[in-house]
Amino acid sequence: MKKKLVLLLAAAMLAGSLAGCGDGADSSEGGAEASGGSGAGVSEDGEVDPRFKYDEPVTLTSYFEISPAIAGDWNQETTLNSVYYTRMTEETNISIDWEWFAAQTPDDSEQKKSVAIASGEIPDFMIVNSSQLSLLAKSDLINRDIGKIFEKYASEELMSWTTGEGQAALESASYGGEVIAIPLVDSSIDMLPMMWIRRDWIEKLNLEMPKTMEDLYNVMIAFRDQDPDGNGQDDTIGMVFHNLFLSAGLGDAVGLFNGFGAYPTIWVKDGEDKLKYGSIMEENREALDYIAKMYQEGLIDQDFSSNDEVKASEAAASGRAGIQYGLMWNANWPLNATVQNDPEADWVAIPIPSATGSEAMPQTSPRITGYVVVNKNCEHPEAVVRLLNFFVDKYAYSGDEYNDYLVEDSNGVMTFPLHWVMLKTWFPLKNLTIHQHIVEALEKDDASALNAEEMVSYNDIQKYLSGDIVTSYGGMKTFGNDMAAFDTIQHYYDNNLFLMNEFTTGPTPTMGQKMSTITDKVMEYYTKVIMGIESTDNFDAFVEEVNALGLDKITEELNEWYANK
Amino acid sequence: MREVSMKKKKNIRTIMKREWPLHVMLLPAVILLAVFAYLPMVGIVISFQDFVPSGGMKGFFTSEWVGLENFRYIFGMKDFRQVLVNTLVIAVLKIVAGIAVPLVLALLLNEVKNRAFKKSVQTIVYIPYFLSWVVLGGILVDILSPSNGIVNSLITALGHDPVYFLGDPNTIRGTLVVSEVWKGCGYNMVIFLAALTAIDQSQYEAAKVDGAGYFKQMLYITLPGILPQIILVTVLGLGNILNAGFDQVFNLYSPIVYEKADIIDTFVYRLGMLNLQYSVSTAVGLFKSVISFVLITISFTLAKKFANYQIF
Repeated sequence: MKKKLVLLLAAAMLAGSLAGCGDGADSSEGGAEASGGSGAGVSEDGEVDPRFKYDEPVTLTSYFEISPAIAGDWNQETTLNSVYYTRMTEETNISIDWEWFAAQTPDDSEQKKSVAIASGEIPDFMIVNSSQLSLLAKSDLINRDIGKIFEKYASEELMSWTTGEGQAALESASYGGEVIAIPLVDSSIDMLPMMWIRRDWIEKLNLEMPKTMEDLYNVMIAFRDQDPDGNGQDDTIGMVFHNLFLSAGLGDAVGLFNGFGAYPTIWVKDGEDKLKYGSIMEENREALDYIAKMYQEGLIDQDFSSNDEVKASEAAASGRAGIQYGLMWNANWPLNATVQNDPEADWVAIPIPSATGSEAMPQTSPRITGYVVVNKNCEHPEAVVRLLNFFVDKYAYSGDEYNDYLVEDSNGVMTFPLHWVMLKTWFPLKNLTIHQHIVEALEKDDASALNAEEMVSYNDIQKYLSGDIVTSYGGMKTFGNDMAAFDTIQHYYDNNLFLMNEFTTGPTPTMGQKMSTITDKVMEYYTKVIMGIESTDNFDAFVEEVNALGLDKITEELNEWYANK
Repeated sequence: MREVSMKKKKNIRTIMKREWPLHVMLLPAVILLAVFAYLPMVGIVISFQDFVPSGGMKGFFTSEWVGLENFRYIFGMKDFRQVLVNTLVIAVLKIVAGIAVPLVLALLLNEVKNRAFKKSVQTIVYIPYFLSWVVLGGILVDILSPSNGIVNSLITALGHDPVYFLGDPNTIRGTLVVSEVWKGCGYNMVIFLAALTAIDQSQYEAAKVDGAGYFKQMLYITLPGILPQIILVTVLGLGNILNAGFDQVFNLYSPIVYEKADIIDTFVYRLGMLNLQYSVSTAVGLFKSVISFVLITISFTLAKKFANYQIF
């Protein structure tokens, strides 16, 4: 419900943003009386205008990181004199003094930031990763009121972007109950596991889409035995499956484990506000037995342990397998290759089947591209929020003005220069919204309400519908209205069916030391169980073993952090 | 007693009077050393702390003391043991090859009679020594590239599969050692050549009279003649046994070859600069310094004993 409300708000703001821009003159007056202190942008009646303008020029120091994507032909002058920056200063009276420009790589920018943190000389604001944030959290270098300032000054759009998927992003930036940094978010619901399945095979064999793990088992048996591809040969298997089956991507088993209520690789609450490592949850036992049975009965390739995801996905592309767990982009690659060999191939996405009686909750991790920390000595912390408001306004809600900001990229295409902007965030529901708009346009057969980006996908889908199923396969199966990937994500989102990884800090000491050994051990044991070399009868012994390898210490450290959050 | 010390004092005064310009000339170097080598040693304290930065030196006083916790941590680290082994293997190979190759080169060059040829070879061999690893690193990456590098073009032209010298854990150590020797051999070669010129030529004449050929002359006159220098170079190399060459490794390695090429210095760099484990990284650095200190002490004792070489 809450999320729907946020969405509604976002939509309403879309309409309202023009009015907001028009208020510019008033807001500068509002800022007048208070611009000297921390009350910038607050009018007499206490209303905060997120689009305020300082009376006196404000300069913030920071670092400019050059993304590898543009490193080749990046030009400092062009960037700083771009419309984006000149207009930013015009409209907000804030300018940024970049202390250095460095390539965004570990050896360049990360190293410089690390030195800055170690010496305690950080700029007015900087963008850090989770490890750097957890170190800064313990120091007294940063402004710990930034959460309140953010709440006060963030525009509704910025707030709805940041909280688009709930409070997880802000919570990940908190320490001691206070939000001490501004999270710059990306979409985590776009990373929810789903099941891809050949509808043409289902229909041909008179089956139903699997809803439970038992259904799934029966469908796999049918796909294996009943010659769904009709070539008269016994050459099909039940499911695509590869050796790194705990890495969500394509042909993995993350969704399968989730179907049993098991959450390998992520940290989940164990009921009483303690964190627990998902890979040792009791629920994994059942999931492992299930996969072991699949292996034993030849429903997955017998040599899966030497196949990586690319190799394993050939089974789907070549029409040997009709089921795979995966992510929303799978139809763009590799599933689109199936239709090149077999024009009948009709992959559709469905929510993951469940073994628990209720609908399964797929897992995902909060995706945060960085945290903005503000120096405690910075006089205008609210200016950082103002700049983020500016970005959101101009990038997403500026109407025709949007075209002013476009620059030619290396392919000669006019695009918004996202790489030139350091203070930028994302609308986590962006792809989902595109999908919603496209579905609406398809229903009404009227694309006039779509924006330029949506039009690209819409046109792709129109091409698919008019028969070009090979090149436009991915577009249709991802954003379309016929059991496309985002139909499944919409279903998850509407029903709040996703479980977020609770681990949102930098690695704890023992984690840095032991975690790779533990994940190796988990993969070794899981793989052995699946191949029948080990048995889940020894699951307790396995849990004991990984605990002894350091997991108990890590769990302890992590719970200490969690309690302090 | 008093007389003696008085005399000494006087001596120092007269010495200073005579040599003060030399001491003044030394001053910049001493200051640089003090600022960049001695002052930072204060930072060693953070290896006994759980360091939390709080602006300049303040963190030294506000951070929590943890005793030897960081050292316990590094010895429990799987990576650290591997890194230690890598460092030792790479350094020992470099020291051995770094003496054998220049020695052979010097002996060969010593037999060359054409002065111009000798001088030009000497110069060409010496040139790479002056290039920085940043430059050479870039060049080597290009030359050794498995797709379009000149070395692999040759290998494939001869009908073999291309070798990914810098990306294969099996070849990376060899590549590091060979490139280091190629870059640095000019230096030791010059030392050996200089030592060769100091050998009394009449010994050779006498040997010839006794019927000794080139090989016997080399074995019984040349080698014993430069033995002190060989011992010196070897013994001084001992002190560097934990220095496998940060500049070089840093410019040539990559995550796929960490298991064989990651050395203490690069490990410290990544821990401290990239993973922000300042205290742990300082502890590793201190561990290395202590071992190196012991080794240098031993090597100087040995140098004094066998080569009569002395700085203090």
